[in-house]
Amino acid sequence: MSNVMRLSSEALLILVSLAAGPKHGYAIQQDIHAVSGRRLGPGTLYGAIARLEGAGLIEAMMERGARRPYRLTPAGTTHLRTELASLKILTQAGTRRLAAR
Amino acid sequence: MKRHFLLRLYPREWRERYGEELAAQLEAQRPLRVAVIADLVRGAFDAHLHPLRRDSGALRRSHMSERGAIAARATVVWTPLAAVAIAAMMVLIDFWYGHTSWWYSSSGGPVVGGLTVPWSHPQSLMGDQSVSPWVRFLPYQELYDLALHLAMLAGALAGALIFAAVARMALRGDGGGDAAGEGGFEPPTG
Repeated sequence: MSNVMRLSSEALLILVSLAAGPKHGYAIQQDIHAVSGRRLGPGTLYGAIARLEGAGLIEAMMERGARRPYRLTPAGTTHLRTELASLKILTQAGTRRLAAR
Repeated sequence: MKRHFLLRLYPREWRERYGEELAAQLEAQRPLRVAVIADLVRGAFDAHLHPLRRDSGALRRSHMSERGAIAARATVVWTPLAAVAIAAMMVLIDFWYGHTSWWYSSSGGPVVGGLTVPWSHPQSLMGDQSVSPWVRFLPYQELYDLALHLAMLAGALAGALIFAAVARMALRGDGGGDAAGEGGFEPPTG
């Protein structure tokens, strides 16, 4: 898990969505649209889900099913915290620099 | 039907893992927009480049250290499609512009390796005197062109399929691909 790739924006959005609780694919898609305004296509969504699941950051709560819910793993929660902290630092730095112009 | 065809673009182990969910999502997408189709094709390409692998009972994404196997898998699936698409495009363009003008010499026979082959032209076989009235109304040259192009396309398709079959047989021994069909999925243990 430690050598997880740098998260794509889609993967980060999925982690943020699942931070509110387990969801199935369609609910994740709707939640991301509500939170960010982005509507992920099904190919993009499941590509990112497969990556996250393969990296051990999320896990399916059922073995099979058309509406299989996913949830964050402890590793996923830690990773999301780290990513958001990093983004926060970046946002603050960018805001400071813009204010100094 | 079209939806199921789109799912067929994905690797089998990927479909076994996510196909049911993806199919349910596609059922909710009515009408199926071009952007969604493009997204699925892109997703399928990505799934072939990063196949799921069975690792300690769970399916995991492969690592880039296995680039050879990944490239081989992508080659098996996409090369035949690309070959047929390119061949079809060339045939259509060629047929559309001047009916194989670069195949035919001015004397009316096809050019093969720089040589004119007059006997291969249907009308040259019979000569003007022997042409029966009904033959004059048949667009022989166009039919011949069409047959030639269809043969080229069939040749490209056959070659691509043979290539894919050979590559698939060669890959079957690597243990990375068809193992997913042997049993169910076990979720990763966080």
